[in-house]
Amino acid sequence: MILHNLKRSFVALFLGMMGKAAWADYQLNIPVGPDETSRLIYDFHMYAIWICVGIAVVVFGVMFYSIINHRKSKHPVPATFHENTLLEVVWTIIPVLILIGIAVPATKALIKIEDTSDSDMTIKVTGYQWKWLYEYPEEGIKFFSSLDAASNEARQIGSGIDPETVPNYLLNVDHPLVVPINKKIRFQITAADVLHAWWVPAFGWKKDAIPGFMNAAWVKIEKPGIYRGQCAELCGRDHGYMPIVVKAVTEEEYNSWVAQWKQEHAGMQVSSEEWTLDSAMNLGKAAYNTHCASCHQADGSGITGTFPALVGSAVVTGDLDQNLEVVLEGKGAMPAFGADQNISDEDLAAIVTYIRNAFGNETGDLVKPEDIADIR
Amino acid sequence: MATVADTHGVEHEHGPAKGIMRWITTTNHKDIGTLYLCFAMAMFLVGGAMALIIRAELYQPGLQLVDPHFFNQMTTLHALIMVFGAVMPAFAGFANWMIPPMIGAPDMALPRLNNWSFWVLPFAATLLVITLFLEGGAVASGWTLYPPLVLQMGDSLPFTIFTVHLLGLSSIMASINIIVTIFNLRAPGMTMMKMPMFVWTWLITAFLLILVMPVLAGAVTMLLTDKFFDTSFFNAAGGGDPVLFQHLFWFFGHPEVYIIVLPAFGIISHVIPVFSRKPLFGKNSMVFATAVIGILSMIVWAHHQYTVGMPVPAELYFMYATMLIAVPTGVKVFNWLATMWKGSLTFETPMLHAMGFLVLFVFGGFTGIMMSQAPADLYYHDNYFIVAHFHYTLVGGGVWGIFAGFFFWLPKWTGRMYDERLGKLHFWLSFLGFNLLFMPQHFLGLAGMPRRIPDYAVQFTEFNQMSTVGAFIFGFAQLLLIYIAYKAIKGEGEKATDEVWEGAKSHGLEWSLSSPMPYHHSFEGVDISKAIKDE
Amino acid sequence: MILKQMSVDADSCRLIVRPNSSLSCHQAKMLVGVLGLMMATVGIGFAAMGAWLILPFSGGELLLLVVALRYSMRKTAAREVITIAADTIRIEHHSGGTIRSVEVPRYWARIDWSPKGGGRLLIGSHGKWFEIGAFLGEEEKQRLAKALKQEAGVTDL
Repeated sequence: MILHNLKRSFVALFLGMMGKAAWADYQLNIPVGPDETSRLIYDFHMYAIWICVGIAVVVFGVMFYSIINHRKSKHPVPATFHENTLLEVVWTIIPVLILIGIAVPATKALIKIEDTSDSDMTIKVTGYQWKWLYEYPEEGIKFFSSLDAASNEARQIGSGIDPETVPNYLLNVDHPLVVPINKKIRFQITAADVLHAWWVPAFGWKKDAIPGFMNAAWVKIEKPGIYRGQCAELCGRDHGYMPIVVKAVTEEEYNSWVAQWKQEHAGMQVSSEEWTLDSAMNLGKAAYNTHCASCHQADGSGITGTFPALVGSAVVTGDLDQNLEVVLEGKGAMPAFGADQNISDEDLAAIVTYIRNAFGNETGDLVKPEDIADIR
Repeated sequence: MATVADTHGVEHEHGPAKGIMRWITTTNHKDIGTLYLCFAMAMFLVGGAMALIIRAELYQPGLQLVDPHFFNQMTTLHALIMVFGAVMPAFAGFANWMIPPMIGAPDMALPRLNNWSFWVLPFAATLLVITLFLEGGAVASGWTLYPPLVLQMGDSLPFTIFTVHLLGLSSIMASINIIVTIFNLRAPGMTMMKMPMFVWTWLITAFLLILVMPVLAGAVTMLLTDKFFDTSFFNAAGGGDPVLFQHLFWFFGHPEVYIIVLPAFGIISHVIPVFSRKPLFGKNSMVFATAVIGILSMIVWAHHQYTVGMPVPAELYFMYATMLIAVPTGVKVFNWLATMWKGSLTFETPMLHAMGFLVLFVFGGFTGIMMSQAPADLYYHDNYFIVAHFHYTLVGGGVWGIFAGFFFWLPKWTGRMYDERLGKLHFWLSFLGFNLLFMPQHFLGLAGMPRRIPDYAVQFTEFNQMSTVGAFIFGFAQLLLIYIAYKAIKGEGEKATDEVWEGAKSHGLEWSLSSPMPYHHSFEGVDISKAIKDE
Repeated sequence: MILKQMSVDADSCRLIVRPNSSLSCHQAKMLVGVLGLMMATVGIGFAAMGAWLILPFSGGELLLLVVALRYSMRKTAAREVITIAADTIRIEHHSGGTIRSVEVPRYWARIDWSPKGGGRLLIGSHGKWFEIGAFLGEEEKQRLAKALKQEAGVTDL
């Protein structure tokens, strides 16, 4: 496998020099995205690059001219000058002028990128270890978005799955963020636990998600499409596994998506008759994968020395109250899930039910949403 | 030391102590310089091995070798060890060897303090490395130690913070020693403006260290109290501010990059004139530019934080101030080019490394100008573009300065010429390996690959593979460096003349001393005053 | 630094040997003042933002600097006065207000400056040896040895 890849990379290198064909979906530069912020950043980036190329030609030109023509074999008697005030003044002033030439457009671009006023809608983004919570305050929509199951399976060490066979490996999520095109969307970005950063390269900017603080950024997408990104601030073990997928659709499609989401989630209040071990286990598996699997792993095996295994764990198979306390109030590095109002009583009840009856743990306990509500 | 007044036979034995005790008790600046350099080399290998683990894991998508948590430990320790264990001690080694002869002092001003500031280092480094074996492993928060993530670390956190304190203490003691030596032990006639560039750059470096180290020490101590004593300096829930830590860290961290690169500027300012057979162009403006860089470096720190949500005017201020650094840095580069201009150039290994330094550092400077621009940095920040940028400046600048200085002064230290053929081979392997390693990372960053991830989407594969191949070439080329040093120290190779390099005598006091430089065992506190007392 | 003084009748001569000591007391105060001011600005600035734990570290560091400066300046305030009289060489060591002295018979005196001695310059005779100019660099020791040979007629061991 390694040999195969080695061969491939050299073949790619070789063909890359011949032409573009071998580079498949390779990219050498910043993408020009479907929105103004991205274009501002791209244009400015190219402007800065060309200025640097210009200076580089002069500086390296002088350097290599000197290396070639002033070597001892060609130029045996060195000059003795070591000062020239005029020259020194000139090469102090010229860089200053060049810098002013860069600073002016940079200032303009920055002010525009940071201007989040007059937005058409707001989306709140909260970074979690290791998933994103998206909220549409105007619509009352709220959901978590985490790495999709196929990537999550393939990314485990020794999974034996070739990442090439996984569509959009590491850049795919279970629930993408759906947004309408041609609307100025204001993102409010924060975090629940540690620092994260929300970055979709196609939009250009990234913004840190900081617990206790709210950052703002905006985008106005002009083309429908799927735009992918990743967390860009180290946030712990699975920092590399919390992708972002933004699905930009037309306004009609967006409206129907909103309506559909509301309809699907209207019946979320489960009546107590329907709350059976089976239904709780089903709901619990999904909720466990969203909230717990990144540490305790999908099969409950944990990570030795870092995250305890739930398989046969004394807490999970022992006293229910103690188990609830750990889940709701946290322990050590584990957050207090009960304190997070973004996770419903149903989800928590289902999670506790699930962990106490899955992975070979057979307590038979059924935790009800009311039990959670009572403790909370 | 009554022996001084005793029989004659005894004091003839009074060279350096024998065996290991010589090195533990030494107060001789040359011995301590050697210790620093050997330690730096060892740490360079340890930190390099960690980098190779990182690059091996990143050779292809998917996880093959290490757990992501261990990967994060590797990135964290690699940075801490390279910055505090390899590069800074290497320059301290050069300072110890070269500053006293350059200013005509017999030794450093505080020889015993000098001994302590070195011997703190091995203990600190050991402590840092053994945190890998604690439960939960070493600190895995990146070398920036940002809270709240760093507060999730287990037993390793207090050890790591203690280590940072020890490393800081070591560099503070070294800096104070250098400052006192330069101010108080200059020979008559050696005025400040006559001091060689290496001495000047180290003086400004030492000032920077003294000014920023307390900030780092305070910041990490506040992490400790936040974790164990329920304070809320950086905890938003308790009324603190996690971003405050970033301000503190980068108030230290940005000058730190100049702490790493200024002494390299000094070394290059010695190497280029010697091999151009011309005096350094614009010495006074070089001194002035170095001082301006030092001052500016302390007021630009928040350009590491364009994405934290600062108010726009603050972002603009930090952007403009950062851009200004390009001016004095440009002056230095132009002065080096003017020194070469119409010189009579030869390209022995030190000069090759100086040219490597110029190419790589100037290239890193260009990406630096690009990154200083807040709007574009919103894209570059925390992706592989910045990884490539700072390796071009810190390795291309700092480490290449160390390479140049090492080959430049090695004959002066050992009295033997190193193997020129192997030296050139080492340069070319390192230079090609380095560029193969870091050049592709620019493209990875621009294509959207975030830094500090153990695994990546498949479209990043090819450039990562090139990068890994380059890393192994660059890494293993350094074994050659050790072999070259070993041969020179063993006394193989032809004898070096006193001036070593053709015409070097006109470039500084140190080249008129004999090669190897006389050992001159310094007798801390043992002088006639003691001998007379024993009468 | 080596100063030479000849007496009027030229039968005694005095060599004054001093270590490099390029920092005056006033300059040292300036140095500490400037560094202290800069450190205080930084420390107090961050303390105002809530990070007061920087101040103790700044203070400790400044204290270390002052101690180091005082130690070094006291050490470099020392001097040795070597008086070459008709038949004795008198060596006085002045340091911190105390003077210690010793006399060596001029005609028996020898200089020992072999590399085996670890770079020490010794003067003496009959098994009693004293180090002189311990604070000098290599080159200056050479000059001092030369001056002693010239002025006092001492020879190498």
